[in-house]
Amino acid sequence: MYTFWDYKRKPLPRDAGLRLDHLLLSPALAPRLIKAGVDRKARAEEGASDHAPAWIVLR
Amino acid sequence: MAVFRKPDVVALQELKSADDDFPASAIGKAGYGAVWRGQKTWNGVAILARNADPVLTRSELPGDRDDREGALYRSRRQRHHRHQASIFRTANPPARPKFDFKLAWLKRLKLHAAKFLKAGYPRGAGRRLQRRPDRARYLSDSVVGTRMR
Repeated sequence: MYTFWDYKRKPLPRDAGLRLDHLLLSPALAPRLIKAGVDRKARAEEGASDHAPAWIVLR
Repeated sequence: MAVFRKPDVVALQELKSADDDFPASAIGKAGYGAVWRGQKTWNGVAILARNADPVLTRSELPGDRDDREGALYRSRRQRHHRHQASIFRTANPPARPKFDFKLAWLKRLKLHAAKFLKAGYPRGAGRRLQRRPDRARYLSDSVVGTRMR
């Protein structure tokens, strides 16, 4: 799973990304994690950041 | 970003804006309170909280009185709960002495995190740290070294 795709060499179709961004939970918070993901679609938008939003849902 | 899912908490990095240029009023109109630490160049981080005003509790890691960049540490208190969120980002220094600064900074982060973990608060952190990638072509890139892991 990646969160970053460079602007050079069209990395998105090749999925040549990097996992630069992390969401860290302490042991007390970790049991409340329901799901997690990366919004890749946001990266494909016109003028998008080279990072895509990474997200988690906590109970 | 907020338009996708209306998250309760948003951690932003690479603000690319000085403190005075941070668009706090536009973010407020979108329903978010914010704390931020801008930098004129690449860095700068912020934490947004939906329908709440985050409280700044710390803007630098302890352990280096000369450190005026690279860390942001914010917490949010709401009702009787104490929610904490932090975001950290440091520059990708291509050369010494900044590279050494970053290594020292990571060590301070580790010490500080250990202290909080021991206290047992529920805690979430967003971070962006260059990890050594698997692809060989990046290995010559000085911003990602094995010692950054």
